[in-house]
Amino acid sequence: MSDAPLVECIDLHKRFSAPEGAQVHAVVGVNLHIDRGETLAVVGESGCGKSTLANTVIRLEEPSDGQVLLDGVDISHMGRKELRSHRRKMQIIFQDPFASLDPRRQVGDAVAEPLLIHGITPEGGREALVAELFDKVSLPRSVMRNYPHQFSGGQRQRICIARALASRPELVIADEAVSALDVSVQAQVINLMMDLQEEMGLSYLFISHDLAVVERVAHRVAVMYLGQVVELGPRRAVFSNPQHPYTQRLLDAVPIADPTRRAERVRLEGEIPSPIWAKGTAPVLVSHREVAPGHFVAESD
Amino acid sequence: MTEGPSPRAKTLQRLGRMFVIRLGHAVFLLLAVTIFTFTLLHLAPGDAAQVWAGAQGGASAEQIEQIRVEYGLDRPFPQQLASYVGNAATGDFGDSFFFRQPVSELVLARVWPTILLVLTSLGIAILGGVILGVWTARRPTAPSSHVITAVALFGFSAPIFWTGIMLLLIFSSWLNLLPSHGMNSVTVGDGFFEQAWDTFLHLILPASTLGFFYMAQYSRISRVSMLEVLGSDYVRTARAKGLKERSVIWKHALRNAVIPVVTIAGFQVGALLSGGILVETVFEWPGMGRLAFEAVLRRDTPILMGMLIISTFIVIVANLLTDVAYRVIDPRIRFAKP
Amino acid sequence: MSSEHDPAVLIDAVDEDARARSPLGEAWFMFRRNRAALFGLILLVAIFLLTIFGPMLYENEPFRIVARPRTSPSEGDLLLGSDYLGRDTLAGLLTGGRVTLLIAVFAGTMTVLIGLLIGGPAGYFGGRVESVLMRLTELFQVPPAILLAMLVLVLWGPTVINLVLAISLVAWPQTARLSRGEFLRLRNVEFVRAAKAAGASDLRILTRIILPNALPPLIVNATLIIGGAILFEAGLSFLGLGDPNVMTWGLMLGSSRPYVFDTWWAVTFPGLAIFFTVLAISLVGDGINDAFNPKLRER
Repeated sequence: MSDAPLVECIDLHKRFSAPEGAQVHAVVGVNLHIDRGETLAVVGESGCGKSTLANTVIRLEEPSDGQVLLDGVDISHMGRKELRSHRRKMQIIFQDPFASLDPRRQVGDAVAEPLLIHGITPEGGREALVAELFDKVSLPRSVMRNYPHQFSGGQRQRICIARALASRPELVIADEAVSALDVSVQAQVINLMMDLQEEMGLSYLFISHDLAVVERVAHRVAVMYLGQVVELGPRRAVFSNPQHPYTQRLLDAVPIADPTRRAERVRLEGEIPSPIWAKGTAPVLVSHREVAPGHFVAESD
Repeated sequence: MTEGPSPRAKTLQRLGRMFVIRLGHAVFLLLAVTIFTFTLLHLAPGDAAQVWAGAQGGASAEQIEQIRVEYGLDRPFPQQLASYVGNAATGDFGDSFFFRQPVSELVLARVWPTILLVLTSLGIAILGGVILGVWTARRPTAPSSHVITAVALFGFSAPIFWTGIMLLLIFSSWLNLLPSHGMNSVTVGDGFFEQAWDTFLHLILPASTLGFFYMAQYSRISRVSMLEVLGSDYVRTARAKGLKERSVIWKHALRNAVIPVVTIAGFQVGALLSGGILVETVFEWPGMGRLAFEAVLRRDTPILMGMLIISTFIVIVANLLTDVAYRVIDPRIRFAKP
Repeated sequence: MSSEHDPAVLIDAVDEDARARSPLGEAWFMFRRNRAALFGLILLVAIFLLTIFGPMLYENEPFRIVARPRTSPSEGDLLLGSDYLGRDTLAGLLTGGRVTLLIAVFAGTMTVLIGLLIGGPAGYFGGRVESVLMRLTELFQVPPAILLAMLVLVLWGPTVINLVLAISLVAWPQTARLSRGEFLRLRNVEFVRAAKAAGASDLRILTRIILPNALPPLIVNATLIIGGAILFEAGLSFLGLGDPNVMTWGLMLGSSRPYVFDTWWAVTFPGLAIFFTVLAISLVGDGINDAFNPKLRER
């Protein structure tokens, strides 16, 4: 296996137009990579651009600038047809397990869909592979003919994982995939994801606002604020030795039981906490400093 | 920070800009409908001049030729279109071959009875609808609420002109209470009040027919928004302050029940005109609808085309006014993108 | 694998009993419990059966003069009397109903197809496609429907086929707006985005995923359009734009109207036929709407 990372984002930008010529800078000059078999977690508050980053990597959104390399190939400017063959290498799981499955389709068919899209006929047939996937996510094969409304949230999320795995992807993007689940169910789904990673050598881009979950699953962590990565490093380094003031506050905010304080948004002084920039203005790109091997921090001057 | 214009001035500026955009859009739409209408004439089978003269116009070959030259129907299509659109912009929709009169004059002579009928119906529908809606919203689970749903369903299931005929049978033929057709009796005197009273009597049946059709619908709309408002915080506050239930409903909540009804009504002028055509035909009310019916009998194309464009103009103006009024009244949607 | 033996999995057991019930079966279950809707369905089936088999069993023909003109239901042998020419009202109702329903069903189908083809892509693709298609929709929506239909029928001539076309021409904008809204809502739902991320083509997403999910409101809309088409056809026939060679309820109303004071039955019965048919269709439409409405289903 080559040493090149599975995914690499180079100077990635995503802007949306807003009324009166203003622009929402959702993702601002992001550079990061994900190695094979690795989980990179992206954390930050809602609105920081982490979901847009995920959507841009998987080309649900077209990047405004920059590149996304998958296996060393730039997929960010590929045409639809060309992109199709690369799509099977990456899959996504969404937050809402109730909206993630087509209510009119039996779940077995939903899991088989990526196979149909890519015209994959596995050895032993699609049916057998779907059954195998149900085993993998610990659901009885007998429920393949059921409809989504007959499952709980956790079960649906397992089905979504099975669907994501059908085309044998190398990268799975989990966009707040466990955030809508109860804590006990959350633990099950996380365990399942980690088992599957070990078994199949998957890489995860794990988007979450929940630091407790991130601490369990991530190998490395990227902290996003207003579209930019302000800190990036190995999980242990970021959690035990946070360098950026924003990371420190984010971590400080976690164990607070007092709901009135928890609601307070973490905010950096002296900055306007909005990704919306009026016509002709743009955010300043931060530069990073390596404080320890692989541990980068945005320089705040 | 630099000193900008005051928020109020900015609001007005935005409203003004929005109005200009809407106006441009309206003009574009009217132009498109005019072009479309004239194109229909040319897509239709048969010779344009012959169609123009009308099937029962009894036009001779020379007369057809005269029409062809007079309206330039012998020129290439783009030129014809340009001249029709240009003339239409000045209110000239050509002459009706049968009536031997300009279309615009014919329509203009019939506009007022239609406006009288439509506005009266609208008044009946809005007033009746809001009262019914508010009344049933006060006790949402009472049988009266189901009655409204049933009445709405029944009202929409019968052809509007048939309802008119049935009313005509009952009130005019059997009970002999109201006049059956026209706008004035021939026997009526010259006095203003005498004539007005006579017109009023003639107006009751057609206006009720048309109004009843929409009343049921408006009662549903005002009921829904009334229920919403009655459950809202500020009405609960008003109640908590000890205001009488009646004044809570009529003073605080009514506004919110009326606004959506008036808005819907404003956007429904086209449908009202459509219904009016049928109702006018039943009661022989001398308005635009009656003219349309006569035009159909004679296959008088110029009148139908002119009426289509003129009524589209009326609809567009009504929509524009409703839209602007709504944005001015309701600040929540003022800044929504047009 | 640790999760396989996780006790929580057992607590979170799959409800295997309910396996057989598909979303469609669920909707039918809800529909059956709705008394008004069931009444509407029975009424509608009865009307369809009467208009399909009635003309075969009842020998009088609708255009033939079979009795003295203006025979009231109480005087002659004819159950519903005869009209101003002496034509059998009942025969007209049975045969006319067949054509009326055919026109309405065809017009409804066509309207939904046009609306779907225009509104669906507008909602799904957005941007320039949407603004062009929605401008087109507006162009057809602004002129008063009946005037546009009248002009078309005067220019092309009042035949049954032209009636169907004229009704669809003025009715489709409503369906297009509805389709646009549904497709717009569905394009951002996660299961559609998941298919997109998996590499599904637009065509596949539109036809296999979005369309089936947009169908319930479109079916309800189709019932409304069919009901509206019956009323609209009646209105056009009343204005003298019905096909004079084909008996419909509207044509009966239109031709007997001038004689309404002498032959009230010739006007009342076709009107009642229209009323009950449209009422039945509305009830069924409401029932379908409620059956597919997830908010009501929860209760």
